[in-house]
Amino acid sequence: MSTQEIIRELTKLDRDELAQVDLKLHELLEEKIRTGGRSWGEALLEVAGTVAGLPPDYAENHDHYLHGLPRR
Amino acid sequence: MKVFGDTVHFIALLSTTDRWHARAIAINRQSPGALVTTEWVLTEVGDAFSHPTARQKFIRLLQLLKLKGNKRMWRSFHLQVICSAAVRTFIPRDYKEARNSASQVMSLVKPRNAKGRVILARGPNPGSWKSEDVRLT
Repeated sequence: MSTQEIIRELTKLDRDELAQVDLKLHELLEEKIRTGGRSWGEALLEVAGTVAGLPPDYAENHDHYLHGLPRR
Repeated sequence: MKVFGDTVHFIALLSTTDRWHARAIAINRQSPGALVTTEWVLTEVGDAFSHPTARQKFIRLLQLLKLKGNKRMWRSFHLQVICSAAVRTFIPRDYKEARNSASQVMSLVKPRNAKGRVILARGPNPGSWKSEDVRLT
């Protein structure tokens, strides 16, 4: 059965049945991530260092830059 | 072990000029446990990267977190849930810290059952960082 056929079949399910499918899907996805996918850390490295021009203490003093609190 | 991604970590990770950038990258390479964060933290990170030149990077961060996140993260932390059940379900870290903006107040709220380690937090002295165990039960 193709992916599109499975998706079409899903429309025939009631709410409880869809909830069961939803639960199973997430179990399977989490299993895939654990066994074969990239970790969250590796995945987020894609955006690491992509923003330039911010102050060197932006993380530490974000309360100051974002909210106006005194620097630490 | 679960690790909590706070605003400090996400800002340090994205900002290439941040003094804690290398530290954030090292943490990511270790991926020391299942990542937990809240939409409120991400709201504050979005605030931090709201400039038009940075906005797309933040959106990509959200996409990556959503791909890696489980359904609890993306369904339990909606703002509507927070507003109606905040007292029962969530506790603040320290309201005294939050005096100025909505995104800061929201970022200080942690899930009641959060246990584990904040992967990158500000240390006791200016310029110092730490990893911090959290147990908010």
